[in-house]
Amino acid sequence: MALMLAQYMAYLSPFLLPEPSRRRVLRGLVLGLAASVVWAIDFPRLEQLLLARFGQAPVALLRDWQRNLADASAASEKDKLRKVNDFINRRVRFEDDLSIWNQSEYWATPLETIGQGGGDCEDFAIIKYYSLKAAGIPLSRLRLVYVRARLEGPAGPYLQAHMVLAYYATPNAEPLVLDNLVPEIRPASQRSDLQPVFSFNSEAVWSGVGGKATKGAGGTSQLSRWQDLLNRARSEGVE
Amino acid sequence: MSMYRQLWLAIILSMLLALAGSLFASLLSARAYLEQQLSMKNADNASALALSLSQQSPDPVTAELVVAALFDSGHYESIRIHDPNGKLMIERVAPAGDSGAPEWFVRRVPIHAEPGEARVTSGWQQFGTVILVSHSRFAYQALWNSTREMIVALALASFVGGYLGSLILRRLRRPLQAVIDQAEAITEHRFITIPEPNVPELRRLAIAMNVTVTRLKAMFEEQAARLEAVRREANFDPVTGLANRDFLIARLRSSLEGEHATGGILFLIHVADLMDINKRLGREATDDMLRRVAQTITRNGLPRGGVDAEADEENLAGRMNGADFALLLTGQNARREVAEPLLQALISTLAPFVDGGSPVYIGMGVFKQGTALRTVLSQVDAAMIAAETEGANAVREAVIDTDDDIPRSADEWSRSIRQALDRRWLCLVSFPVVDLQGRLLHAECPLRLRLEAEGEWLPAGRFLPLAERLGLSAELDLAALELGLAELVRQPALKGLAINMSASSIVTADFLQKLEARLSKQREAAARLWIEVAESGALRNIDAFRRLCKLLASYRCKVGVEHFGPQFSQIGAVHDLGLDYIKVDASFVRRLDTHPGNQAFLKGVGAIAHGIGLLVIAEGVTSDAEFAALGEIGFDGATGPGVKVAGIA
Repeated sequence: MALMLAQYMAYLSPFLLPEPSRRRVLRGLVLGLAASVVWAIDFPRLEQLLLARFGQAPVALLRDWQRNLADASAASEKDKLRKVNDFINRRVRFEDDLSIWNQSEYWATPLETIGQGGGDCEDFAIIKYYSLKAAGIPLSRLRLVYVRARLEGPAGPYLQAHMVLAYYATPNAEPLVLDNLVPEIRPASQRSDLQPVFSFNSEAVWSGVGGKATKGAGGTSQLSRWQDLLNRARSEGVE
Repeated sequence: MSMYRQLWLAIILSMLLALAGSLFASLLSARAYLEQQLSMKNADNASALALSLSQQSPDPVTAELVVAALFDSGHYESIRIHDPNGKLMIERVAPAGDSGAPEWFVRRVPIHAEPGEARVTSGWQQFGTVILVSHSRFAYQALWNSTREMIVALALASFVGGYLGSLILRRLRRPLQAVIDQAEAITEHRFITIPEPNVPELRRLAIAMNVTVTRLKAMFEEQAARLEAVRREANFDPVTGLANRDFLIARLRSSLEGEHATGGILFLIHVADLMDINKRLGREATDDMLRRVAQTITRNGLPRGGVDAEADEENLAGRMNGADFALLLTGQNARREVAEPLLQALISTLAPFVDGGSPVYIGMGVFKQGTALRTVLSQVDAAMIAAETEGANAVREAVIDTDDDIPRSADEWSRSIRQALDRRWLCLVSFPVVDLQGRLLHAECPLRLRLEAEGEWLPAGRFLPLAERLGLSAELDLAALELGLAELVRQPALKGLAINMSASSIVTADFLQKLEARLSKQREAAARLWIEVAESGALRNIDAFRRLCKLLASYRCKVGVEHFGPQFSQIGAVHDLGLDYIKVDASFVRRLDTHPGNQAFLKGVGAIAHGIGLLVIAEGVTSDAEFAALGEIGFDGATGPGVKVAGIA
């Protein structure tokens, strides 16, 4: 509702104000508009939770992430991908779940990834997924993909389980792969080191008792790992 | 609606609500669980299918095969694959069939399971989206079965609950009924107390009622005691405690006149030279002597413990004036042989007070029913004077009547009465009982009997005491009842008809059953029947009388006590009998207009009786003046020689 109001205001204001300030106002409004789109993420609440759980240290990263998202919102779709991918790859460390979370397998919410300042391949994919969603990319174009990655090691090539984020410009198109192994975004055909196994996103996920929109009331034991992550992120204020 | 029915309805309704509620709740929760399970199955199966398809880098044909294989071998309602643009690519749908539960159940309690969705990729290419719905038939079946079982279990529980509820109600019912009965009894002027029930609310009610009843009883007893004092003052000599002259004359009259007159013996006893004794010994000693004389007369003159206790109570010792005492023995039990021993006893009593000479004379006379009072008094007085002139302590007897054509021995009487019963030589005579405006309240109908086919009709006083002694009074009373009912049937306009019953009848073993047998045949006439028992008999056999009252109340007969007054102090005993009326003895009514003591007494009796809800009727009214006096003291009716129904000459 407020979104619509802001959009309306943004449309009207250039005609209400004198010439010189028009452009400045426009940009500010567009930024504001973009910011309103980024309302899918409740930043004040995130900051509060971040402080409570992880202390003062990661707050700067959070603010930077927020700026990055605002920036990305205003960009074209390709640019969104690039901005988000670059930011995450640069600012988030790559570490495995065991050292960060003391668990063999743990999917971190964006808050947790930022709070820790690092994560493993799933965490990268997840935070990029939420970021792109917040930046305005429709979910139907995004997929999280389980892949088999062939990596080069000292003893020769070896295979590893990996997760990447795939972007489909149209449903039948070849996807672009956003990865943390290879920093730049490449089309899938150029990523012969990856072999896809299974892909999913949050559009068609049954969230437990009560249907799609509500939290699962049957207890976490009845939720899949992905459903659990979605719920946790939602409770932290990240849609 | 009855309280019990309301309670029952409340119990049933609340149980139904509880059961329906729990059934509904468990049904809903079972359905939610099944929905959840189905949805999870849908999601997992869709993911598995999508995963397995993605591994094969499928083309549409392969995909269709895999879908068919999965569909045919599993429990699915539909499996669809849409292409990335949303168009339907592959579809398998189960035919509509038996859904495992009745149609109406499926409609009412639908199970909505979320379809499972998952993405299928062929390499990096999006292949499509799987949408999978498992068959809910099994879920419906499970739900239906569990619902049925639950209904059975809850129905059983409700029966148990209902049974327990009925037990509780039954426990409540009894004390409540007792309290209700007490309340109803009070409205019928039967003041009974009940044991306190356990239920706290009812106990408070019962306590309150019992206290009220007790207070009422105490009030009546207090009033009765006060009135008793009034009565004694009005009718008894203060010095000796014997009856005074008026009372004795009235009693003498009642054994001479009226249907129930029985005749008897009158003794007049004269203490000689009373004035001399008074002068010599002083007032106090003289009074003391007189009291001793009274005691002696009572002890020796009045027979006790005889066969006919009812007649005994009609006997009376009295003081006529300063030096003259009287002893009245009524009924067939009167024995002239009492005189000699009495004389001797009196001589020895008076011995300390006189100094020689003959201190006492007795005159006596046997009289029959129907003799004039003046005749009896003058003849016995003459006999006493004759005894005095003889000089020595003596007894002289007067000869009063002569007719003697009635059988004397008990056997002959027994045969005669039985013959009269068998041949129905019985009839009722009617005397009107009117209210103070002269309207008829009822006809009092004593029984008359004749001993021969064309003989004279003997009034009750002549044969009834004998019949009681011979044990025939029950049959006579039943015969009188039959005649009374027949008369009531014959005169449907007659307001009421009163029959006397004697105490010896009501204590007879199966008298009540026979009575009930006759009443039940003539219910309409029975409702106009008035039954009365003499006060002495009723009070002496109070339990039998209570049973009689209860029986008669159930046939709506009116019950009353006649010749009421002498044992007035026992009025407390009549509280819980449910009486309808009392007839006050003639001895209190005689010359009421000139007897302020009796006026006060009867006024009090009337007040008390009205307080218990009884009609008060006076017996033996002979004059208009007495009738008028009755009006002033608030009586309800009168009967007697001087009473006529208004409008009839």
